[in-house]
Amino acid sequence: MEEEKIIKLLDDESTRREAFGQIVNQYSETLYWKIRHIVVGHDDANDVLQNTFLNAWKSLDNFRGQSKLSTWLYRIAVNESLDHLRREKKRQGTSDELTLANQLLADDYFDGDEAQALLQEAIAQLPDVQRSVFTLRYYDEMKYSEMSHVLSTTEGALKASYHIAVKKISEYVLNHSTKESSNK
Amino acid sequence: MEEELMLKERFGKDAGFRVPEGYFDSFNKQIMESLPSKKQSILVRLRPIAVAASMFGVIAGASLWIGHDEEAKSIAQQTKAIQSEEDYYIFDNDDIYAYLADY
Repeated sequence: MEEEKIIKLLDDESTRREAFGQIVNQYSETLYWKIRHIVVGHDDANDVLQNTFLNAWKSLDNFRGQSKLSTWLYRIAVNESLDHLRREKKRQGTSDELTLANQLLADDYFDGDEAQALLQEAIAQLPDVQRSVFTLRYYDEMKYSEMSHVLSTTEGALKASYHIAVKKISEYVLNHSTKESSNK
Repeated sequence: MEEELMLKERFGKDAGFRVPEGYFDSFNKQIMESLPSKKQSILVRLRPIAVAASMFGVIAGASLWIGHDEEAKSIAQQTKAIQSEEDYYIFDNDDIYAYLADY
């Protein structure tokens, strides 16, 4: 269904729930992958996706169609993902018994190889917002202009952030690949 | 960017993540069933206003009871300070999304 039509249906109390159902059908998968790339685990992504839609539902009255529906939803999803990362950091403290790569390789919902697990570990080393910038650009190819609305940051700052993230990840991957090959 | 090309060539764009079979269909059904009713969401939205109004009532009552001009002035200043503190604390995620929706 077209965005304009959905927004009209949202305005009407009697069709609001039906319209929101359309939004859920249309955006759940896209939002899930954006969230999953940031929070990594499936269960975490599932929780964040639920919170995203619940918060979108609660604040529908304030969506006046001034930004695109997708941009508004992405913004909620990214904010919820960042909140989740902060909460997890507080909860976990500094205890890291298993590296993220090893956790992923044992995860039922990860079927990548060691190299892909290492890439996820490298991404997880980034500061939270930089991590979001990297995943939104690298995996979702989001334009900087749209990202600037999602993250409320200038395009220039986002480009710089992505550039730094790519450098850090490349260095991490290179260092850890060298260590692994020298250990063999 | 050279490093970006290296990452894309080496790792591609598939992160290797998978979801349980039928996940999206069951998620969509489940989230629609768990949406709170409109009535409830209005109550939740009015909560910050109710808190602000009750705080204001308590402080206004206290300033009337004390009565002295000097003291009243000082309470008015305190009210202003408390209100601005309150403005900060009553912003939960819902308020932030509501604010962001305007842009």
